[in-house]
Amino acid sequence: MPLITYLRKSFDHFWLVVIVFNLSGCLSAEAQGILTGSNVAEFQLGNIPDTDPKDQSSLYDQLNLRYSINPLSLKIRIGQFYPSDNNGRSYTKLLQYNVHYTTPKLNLNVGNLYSTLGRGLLLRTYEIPGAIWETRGYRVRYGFYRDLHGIDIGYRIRNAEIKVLRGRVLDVALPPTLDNGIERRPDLVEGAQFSYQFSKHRAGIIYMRHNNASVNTSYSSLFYSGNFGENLSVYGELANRINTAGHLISFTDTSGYAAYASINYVYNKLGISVELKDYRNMSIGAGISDPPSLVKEHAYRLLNRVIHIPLLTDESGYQVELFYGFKNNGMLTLNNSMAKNEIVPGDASIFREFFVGYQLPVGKHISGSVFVDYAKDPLVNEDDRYTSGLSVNVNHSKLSSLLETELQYTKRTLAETSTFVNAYFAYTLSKGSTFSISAILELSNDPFLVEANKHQNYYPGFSFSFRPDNHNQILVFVGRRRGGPACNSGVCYEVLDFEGVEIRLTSRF
Amino acid sequence: MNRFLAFFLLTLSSLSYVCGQTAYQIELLDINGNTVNIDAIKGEKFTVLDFWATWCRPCINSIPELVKLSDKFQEKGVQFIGINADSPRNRSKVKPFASSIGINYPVLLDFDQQLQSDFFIDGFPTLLVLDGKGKVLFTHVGFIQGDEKTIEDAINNLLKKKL
Repeated sequence: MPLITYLRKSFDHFWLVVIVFNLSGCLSAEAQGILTGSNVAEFQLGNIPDTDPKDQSSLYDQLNLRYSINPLSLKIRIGQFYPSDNNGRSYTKLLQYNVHYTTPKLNLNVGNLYSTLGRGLLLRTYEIPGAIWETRGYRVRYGFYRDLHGIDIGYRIRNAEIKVLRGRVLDVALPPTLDNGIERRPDLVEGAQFSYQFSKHRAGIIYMRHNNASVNTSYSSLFYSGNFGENLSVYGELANRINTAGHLISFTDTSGYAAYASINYVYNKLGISVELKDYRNMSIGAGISDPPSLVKEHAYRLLNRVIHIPLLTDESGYQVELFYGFKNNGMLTLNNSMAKNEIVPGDASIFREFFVGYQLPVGKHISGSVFVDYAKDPLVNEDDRYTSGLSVNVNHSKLSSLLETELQYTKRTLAETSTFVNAYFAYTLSKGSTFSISAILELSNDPFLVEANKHQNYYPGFSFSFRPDNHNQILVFVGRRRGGPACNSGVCYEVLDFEGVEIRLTSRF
Repeated sequence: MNRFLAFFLLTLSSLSYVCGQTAYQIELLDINGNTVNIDAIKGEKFTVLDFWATWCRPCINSIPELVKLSDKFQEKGVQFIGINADSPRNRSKVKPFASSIGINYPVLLDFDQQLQSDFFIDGFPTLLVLDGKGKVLFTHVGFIQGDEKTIEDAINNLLKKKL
């Protein structure tokens, strides 16, 4: 940490430095390399519905700068947050820095970085780009990323690759304002991965040591990937916690292991993916492992909120997904997934989901999509959940219209059985990707959401998007927005409800 | 107050200057597990990077149109490359999806978000047109029907300027 501490101390007035850096970098770009960057600024006026003060305002900004001069690049990220009531929640911080040096054989990353061992059964650090996170407890807004602060070295010679890393992983649940006395990076990780490619096959081995305030544990993993002809490919990985008796591999109830296998088959426009998982006691630290979830990742609004989240203490199951592309560019997707959780022996809960979706063009001016989904998820007490949706896009002479509807019926049993409906409607009028205006209405009579004196909750809103050029975008939302879980790239996080005005300005330069 | 001013100035300074972006010699795995250097497969005149994901709905509409554009521009020195942004969680679906939707240009896997981070990608699909040195000349974010014409016009304009 001494380097980042030094940088922070030096940056008492770092915003001036950044502006000078930004401007001078551009002017000297041709001579010394290239400075690029992006900025996300978001202003909110409003609050969680039915929460005081209703007119709370805040400004959030994230600036990313990258200076590259081959084979070296330097990156920094600066975050700022200023709520109107402050209350110790504001910050201006250098949140990330990174130095990356790359040659055809060597890949060196120092600072805040993202890295994966194998398929993430032991370690995966990542970011959800563009996501701004805020929890009900802290009410501090910041970017959603779980990075590793340390070093990652990759070296490749002929068919052999080796990767060595060491660093502390950020606990994304802790906001940047928690600097005093609370360790935002509780997990120290040291790992090495070696793989060797022979023809169309690759085999590898991983060793990782994990250390935090309460544990000091070692893990190992073996993986294999291979292609059999042009059509068939397979991947398998077996990760294991090395127990105190020194056993490299153990499959007892108390041992920790994660087994994952996948088979892909493609034939013309048909593609099939079959995956199997068996995870036990593999939740590592504050969540540094991120094995494949084997659950359909949905972009549809209502389905996205109810994606099953794997329990790494005990989960086994499978996922089968089939794609078929039609000659008219239509795309059919079929998915079936199952996950079994048996935290208490003999008391298994089984999640199942079936999904069918078809995205189709109808002539030159009309396109649309339709889907049907059924799931049952005892872990969240859902006996049955039926979801369907339809969207139609019509091209007019200069504008285009998009109508989206989704309906969800759920039967839930806690002390007693209840049924409820979620619905989503949106109409969007667009001019290419330059300009769009949308009217959105969500409603729900979910007893978990609706207060006793109401029958249902309404979430009406308008959104407006404008891209004046290739580099900038303005997004405006006015109204009430429903929160809940949001999933992106397989990672789910909680979004708070919001009522008010939100303006987001994104620029890339 | 100073901080609000700083915030404002930072945003303004971000908007005021367009410097252009660069790609460097980055290596990624392709969907068949081979390590590929982007420089080795870049286009003679321009390279089009399309960032997409299997769960991205607009990508299902954009990719068939990009395949048509790729077929049209390949002989003119423009190479299309798909950059898959799925996490390792969805890795198993990438090849079946790419095959079903008919992608006939190279698809590379950006597992550790290296390229996404370098180009500040925050939404899908995002399409970048790079020159021979890797500088970004054109960016297109999102896709609705008709955008393929915008992309085609942009590439044609760049080719005209190149002549």
